[in-house]
Amino acid sequence: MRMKGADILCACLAREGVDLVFGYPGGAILPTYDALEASGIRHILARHEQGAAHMADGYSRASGRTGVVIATSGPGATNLVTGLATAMMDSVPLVAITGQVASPLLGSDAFQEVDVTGVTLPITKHNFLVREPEGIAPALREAFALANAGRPGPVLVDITKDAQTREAVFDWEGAEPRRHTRHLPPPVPEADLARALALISASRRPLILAGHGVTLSGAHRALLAFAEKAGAPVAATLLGLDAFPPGHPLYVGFMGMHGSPWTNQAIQEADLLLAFGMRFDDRVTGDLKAFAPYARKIHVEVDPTEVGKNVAVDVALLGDLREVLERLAPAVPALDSGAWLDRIAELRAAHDAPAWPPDPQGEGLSPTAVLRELSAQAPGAIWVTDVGQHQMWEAQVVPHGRPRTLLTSGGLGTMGFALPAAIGAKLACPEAEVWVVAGDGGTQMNVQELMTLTQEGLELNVAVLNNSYLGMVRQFQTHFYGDRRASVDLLAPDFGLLARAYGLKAASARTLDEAREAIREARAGGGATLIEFVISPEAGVYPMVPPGAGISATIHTPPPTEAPCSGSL
Amino acid sequence: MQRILVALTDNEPGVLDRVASIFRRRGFNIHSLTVSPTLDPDVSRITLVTDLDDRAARAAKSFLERLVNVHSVEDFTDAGPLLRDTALIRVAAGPADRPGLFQLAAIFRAEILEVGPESAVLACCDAPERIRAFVESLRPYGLLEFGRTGVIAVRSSGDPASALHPAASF
Repeated sequence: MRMKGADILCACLAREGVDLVFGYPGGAILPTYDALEASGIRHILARHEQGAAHMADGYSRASGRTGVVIATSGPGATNLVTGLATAMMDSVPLVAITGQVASPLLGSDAFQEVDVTGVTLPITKHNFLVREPEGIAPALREAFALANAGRPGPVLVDITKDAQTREAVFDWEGAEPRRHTRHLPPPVPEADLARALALISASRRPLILAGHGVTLSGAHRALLAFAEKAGAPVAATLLGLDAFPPGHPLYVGFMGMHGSPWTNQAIQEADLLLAFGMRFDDRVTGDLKAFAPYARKIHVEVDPTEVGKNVAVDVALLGDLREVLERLAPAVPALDSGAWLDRIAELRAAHDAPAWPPDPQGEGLSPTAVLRELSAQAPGAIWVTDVGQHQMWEAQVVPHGRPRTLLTSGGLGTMGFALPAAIGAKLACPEAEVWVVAGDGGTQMNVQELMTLTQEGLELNVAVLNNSYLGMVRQFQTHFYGDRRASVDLLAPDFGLLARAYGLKAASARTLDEAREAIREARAGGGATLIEFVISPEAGVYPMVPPGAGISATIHTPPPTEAPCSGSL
Repeated sequence: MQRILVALTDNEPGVLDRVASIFRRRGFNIHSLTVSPTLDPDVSRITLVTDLDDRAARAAKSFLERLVNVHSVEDFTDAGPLLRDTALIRVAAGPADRPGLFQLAAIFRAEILEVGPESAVLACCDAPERIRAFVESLRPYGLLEFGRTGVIAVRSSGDPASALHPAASF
């Protein structure tokens, strides 16, 4: 059947099961928008293409489905860059579709032309430039297959305007994807499983490090079964915090730079690390030379390039984590790890006060107390956090345990991520309670998406922890730059007025009682609410491991300092 | 240490950029890079010469293999591959210099492509070190222009069968 390229594109989206896309129209993608209008696929109009990309990302993280974002050529396409890089770093399956100038104009510096396949080459899993309508279906099908094959990631399809308007035969079957299977690891050999089992059997102090791969491969149950059968404790990376039930007796906690000291110490004392779908990021390992000096290492990972990249491993099991765990679990022995669990309990007892982490020092509203109150009132929520101090407080304080309930930019650390990602998450899970947790800095980075939220009539709530600083940067300056506070004193608008201007309800809290009441009112419904929590300006995130130090080198409290050299606003 | 990586890739626009980007991003230098279609017109063969240590070479191979356009990658370094490089060299050589020049060409199995009143152009297809030696021996005449193709490599006939794409590696 002959169809216009844009109609072929929409037909492909529909056949891929896509019923919701995010984007922003413009000249070079107009034929596609015209076709979308008739296709029945819902389009969410963002206020900025970066916001649209994060929405697609949040949609994907919350639902497990592939997010789709559409933008025009040139500036529309370049505005996707941060969203694509964010998805790439956190292995989020995303398909980005961009318009491109007509093929005769390619390379001529035409109006709104940019070499977007060149620009996005290092931040996509793969990308395509399509110049012919015949190429649209093969590229789209391959893009969806690639985005989800093995280690997921973003794929971009750049389509010239004339390819969207000219006609071609739509041949879905003839466009069957071929390349996505090229580098998938073969099934893990039995011999490798046996080597892993031998190491596990010989271990007395095993520790599982659970990463984002647990969620991406749907391995939560398999992980729980494996850990319980082996009696092996489980620590989590930032993106692995929703991988394991936090109240479980085998759960050891959050590891890395702002992780629990006992979790990091357990890594240092372990004789075996089982790295499940995590990539030994430097925020997790600290100084590699000092990392886990006594531990043999088993790495279960779907991406071969991650094996041995940062940390040498004794056994690599290359494959889908869930499949590997389901094969390992029946043969894994129940380990004699009682003394090890006692040791971890002992490490924990030294720190695990009734309120962990201890509330930050300083005058004013405690951010951790606010987050404790939030999680107490909304225990089943999806938490979408921005990047900065609030992100780490949230990770330390709020218990996660159900898959896909913590959405955060872990790898790239993208400020401005949370609000648009939460919009995507709410659209993916309309019944879920969704909370944005952001700082005053990140909120101002993509604040325009509050209007998208209102236009779509979404009921999600935004918690802005306002300390009138770029707090994490200031904390680094305090410790590592002699407390010289260069460009962190951040003027913010009146968030209440701003929220109301965008059509949200607003509240402000300066005490815990006000916070409690504001959260209660926001949860009562009747529209989205932005709550500004005016927190202690000098609050820091502790514990903290200095960048580049070993993970035992924990800083527990801020250094004694003179009075702040610049006052809060 | 000189490393020789051979990759079979899709023969389509942009693939070389993707391959080279793997090296650029990590700050790995490429000494020589050759690309040509194989007998399968959809497949190209890329030969890369670098100076990576073992760990970096493993990483480079692994990152190359992750590229969607790459079919397979082999590290030929330890296989004692046969290497060939072609150089075109224009040297300052008048009529009086020709006998010596022709002798040198014969020793190095170089071809004399052209002789002019003040210069001559020679072509040499040989292992990279032989080309280097040939160039050094020509240097006293005065090198006017020099171009090389870069290295291509195949496994020696005594080696086990290559794991490269069978249809494209012959």
